[in-house]
Amino acid sequence: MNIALGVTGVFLGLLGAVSGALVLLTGLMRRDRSVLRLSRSFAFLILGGGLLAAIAMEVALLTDDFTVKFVYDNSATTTPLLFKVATMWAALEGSIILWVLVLAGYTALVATKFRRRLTDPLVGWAMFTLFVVCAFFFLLLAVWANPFQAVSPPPGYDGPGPNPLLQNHPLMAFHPPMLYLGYVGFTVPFAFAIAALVTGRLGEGWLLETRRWTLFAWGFLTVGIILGAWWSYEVLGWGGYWAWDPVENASFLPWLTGTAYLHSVMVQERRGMLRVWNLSLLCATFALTILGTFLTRSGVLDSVHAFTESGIGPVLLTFFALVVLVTVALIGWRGDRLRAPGRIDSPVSREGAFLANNVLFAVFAFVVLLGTVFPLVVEAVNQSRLSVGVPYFNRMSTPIGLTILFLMAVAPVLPWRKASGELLSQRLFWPAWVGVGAAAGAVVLGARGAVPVLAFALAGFAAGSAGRQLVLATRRQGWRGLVGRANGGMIVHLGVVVIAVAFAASQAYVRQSEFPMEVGQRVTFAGHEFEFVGVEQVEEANRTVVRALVRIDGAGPYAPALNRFRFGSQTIGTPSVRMTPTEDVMLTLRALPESPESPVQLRVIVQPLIVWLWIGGGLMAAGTVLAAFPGRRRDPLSPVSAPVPAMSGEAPPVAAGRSPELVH
Amino acid sequence: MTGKNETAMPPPARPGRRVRAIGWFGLVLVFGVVLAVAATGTRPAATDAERVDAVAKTLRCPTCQGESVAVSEALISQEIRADIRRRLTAGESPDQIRAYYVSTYGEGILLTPSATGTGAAVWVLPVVVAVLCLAGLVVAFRRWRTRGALRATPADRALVEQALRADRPTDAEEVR
Repeated sequence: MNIALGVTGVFLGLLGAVSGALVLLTGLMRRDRSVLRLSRSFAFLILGGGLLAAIAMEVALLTDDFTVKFVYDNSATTTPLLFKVATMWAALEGSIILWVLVLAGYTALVATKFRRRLTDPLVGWAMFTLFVVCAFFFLLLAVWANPFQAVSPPPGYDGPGPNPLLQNHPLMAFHPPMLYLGYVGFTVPFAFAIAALVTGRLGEGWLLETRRWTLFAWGFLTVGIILGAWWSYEVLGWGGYWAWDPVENASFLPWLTGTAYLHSVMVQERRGMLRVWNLSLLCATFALTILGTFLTRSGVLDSVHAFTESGIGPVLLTFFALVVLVTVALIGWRGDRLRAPGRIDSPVSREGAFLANNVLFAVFAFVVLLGTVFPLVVEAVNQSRLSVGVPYFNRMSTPIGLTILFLMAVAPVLPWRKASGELLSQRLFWPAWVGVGAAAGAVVLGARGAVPVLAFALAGFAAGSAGRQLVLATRRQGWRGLVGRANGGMIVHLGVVVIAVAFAASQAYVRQSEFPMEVGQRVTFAGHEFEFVGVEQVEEANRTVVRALVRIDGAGPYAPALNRFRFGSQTIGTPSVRMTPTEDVMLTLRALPESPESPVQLRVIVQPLIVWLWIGGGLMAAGTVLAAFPGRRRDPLSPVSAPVPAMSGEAPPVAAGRSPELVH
Repeated sequence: MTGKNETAMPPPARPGRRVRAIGWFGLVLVFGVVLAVAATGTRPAATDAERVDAVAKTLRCPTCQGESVAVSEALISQEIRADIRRRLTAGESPDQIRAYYVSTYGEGILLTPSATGTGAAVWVLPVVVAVLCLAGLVVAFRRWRTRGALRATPADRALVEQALRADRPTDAEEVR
């Protein structure tokens, strides 16, 4: 029953996407408006297919229908409800269902949002591109990653349940959907970019139309990444939240290029320049989501996240190659229309800062991509094994990250066109003192080491700049000074600053120790006293939990645990964290005690400011939402920046009095 | 238009300028002192677990997938951590320990590729890309400078004026 429903859904979606693409193509070729209007019906047909497949899978999971291969392989009757729901994205085939569902949702949303303009060739080609991408993923589901294969389970069969690591924390239910909303969301601006290239309407129209789509995709991706970091912190028990794991990198790469795009697009909107670059960034972002899926879902790279090997690797790689080829060819074909007449007057200007931003993010993305695929390339070329891991990424990203912070401090105060030293000195004065104050404060509180203190200084500097802009804007416009792209963007910047500080502090000042403890024993470490109270054992439906009860400074007890799931030989730890605004104390139980009275091996990790990573993520999300609302519009007819001198051949005067806050 | 812009731009106050110069000088001074204190200060002595962790972080777990020895819970990683602890207490340096593991498992066990041989590419290429990007920017700016600004001809201005007049409701229209 579920199989029939699911397969129907997949084929409905595939049919809708393929026929939609073909019909739309003929409509576009013949310029037939009545045909183009049909695209909305096709979009909803696809959404229906995706919904049907997802519902069939969820029903199968919730009713323990082990005749479905995916359920047979990945679920168990004893899996708690929340994780049964989340099992859909805990393995390859199901995660593609989530992908097509989100993609179909976006397609239907586009069709609804642009329902009055479906006959516009630009929208038509965008819908066509969306249909083609939909068709690809439904085809993946129908042929290479079919979750609805039938099996006949022996009587009384119970499945193994999802990977124990993936049923250990409720964040597992939220992190992947968020990530997919971001990942897949970039398909929409990509589709419009392709449409702009095909129709030759390469002005700024399509950019403005997809601005919010890109922003929301980026926001979801950000939240997804942060939730993933939180999950790994709460579950993996080594005190880390970011391991430069290939899958993390795969989500980080489109985030980097997407961030670069969100910035450089402003140059194009304002000055009509960087068209090729922006198109390339957008297409690269989409291509990188496909490449990331290939790297992580095909089993070519080893990683915690990589699901088992399957046949979808070559298919995804082919699709990636196709995306790259098509976009490169289109950009080459439209090259003449993409050339912009403008020029950037000075590197010390808003445009110049956006260019620097793009160089930094492009280099960052290159480093991450290189580090991720390098072992693969080396192994393919000369059969030798080589690893690139955390130490490499940390060393490379430190200077890049510090430079980005510096740029975040300087760029928001720069005017368009050109800035003078006098202007910089005036606007950067207080932000710079905020930075020095932050560094001095950190040193007084005991922070040592040049690199972390420099990071605090630059973070304070950047926060000062962002704060300056927000203060000026709210003073002028009241609460509306927090809304709009420039102001919401500054709130996002503040979130980034908070994360940067938390990251630097927790990396630099982590303390850890490991010691055996007897019942009743007290140990002091890193200014905290730990008292081991005893062990308790709990039998749950799907696992046996052994908890060590430990008091931290008399509070608690905190209960780091080890879980043995009914299936799988591994024991999975559940760390226990005491979270405070200044520092986190994480307790991990290292090995099962032989008897309730025997000593336990306890690992203690003390890291400052961890909670601010999540708070910073929340700030970034809030800032993204605020940035999506229209701010106070500048008069569309007023000149964009400095007035051009009528007569003399000198450079135009600097728009010193006209703060960038005003013109946004 | 031009006039409106100029009135919105008061000339910067001269006395403030000197005060600010002193302020910047003070800022550099204070920051120098802060950094010096930060760089010379001592950190608390590392615990055994931290010294083991520092070495374990640089080694790849031989049997598991993409994890370091520090993070992995695999049996082999637990044994390697115990071995690192033994060797550290026996007085071996982290480099000696790494060298031992390279001789046993090969270069692939290091999570930081060495700066010689094939692994060097992973260090050199990002620098090359960064330099190329910067060079590209320099070339672009130079071209923009020599090409000169596009100057609006009187004909262009007339066009703009005409467009503005057409778009903007005239006073008369507003009254209506």
